Amino acid sequence: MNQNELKNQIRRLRFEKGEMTQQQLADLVGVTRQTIIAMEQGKYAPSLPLAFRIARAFCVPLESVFQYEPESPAPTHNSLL
Amino acid sequence: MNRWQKIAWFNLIVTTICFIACFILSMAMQFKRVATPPTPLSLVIIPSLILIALSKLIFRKKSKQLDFDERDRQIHKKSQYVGLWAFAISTVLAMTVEIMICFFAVGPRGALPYPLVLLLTICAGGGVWIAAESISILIQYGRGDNDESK
Repeated sequence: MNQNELKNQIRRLRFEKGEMTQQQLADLVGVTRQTIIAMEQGKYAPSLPLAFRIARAFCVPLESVFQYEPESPAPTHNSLL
Repeated sequence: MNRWQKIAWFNLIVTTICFIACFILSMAMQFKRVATPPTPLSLVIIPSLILIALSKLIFRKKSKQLDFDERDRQIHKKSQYVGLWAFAISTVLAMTVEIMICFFAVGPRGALPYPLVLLLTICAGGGVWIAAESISILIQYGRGDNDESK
């Protein structure tokens, strides 16, 4: 998967969550600060368990943190029939 | 810069110094006509290998803070593949170069002592492996590591 297709709101959510630092979030979800930095810059696509841990840390659904925006839209079930 | 980047820089510097020292030593031995190159070469290679093996102890984990996660695992896995490929390619190249040197310098009926060929090939391959792995680690960490904001 192209990492540019996966957008995230981690930075915004951190600031909304009382100016949470990257280190505090990293400690909460069990990764290093460098990983949080890479994710915020869109240079690293996290694994599914980590994505869920981040969403849980912000107490929001997964879709509020990560958005999948493909360059070409994926075919729907109806278009395949 | 995290611990793994420091280790990669350290290994890369040690390997580069080792390569340069081996090259200078080989050239010096060639001009001085010393007949037993493996012994002085091992004086450079063995301390370098010891330093590289001890790099994780030299750059010890400072606090109880986590320093290895899924991204680090992914980076290290990719770098090991890069290192292994570099080792395979450089071993073949080193063998070719040694055969060519033997052919052109000593003549078609010339011969090199096989322990020397083996030692040079393995050392060259191993050095390239460590250097390629370190460069790969540094490049991959460098991509997402330039944000200093808290």
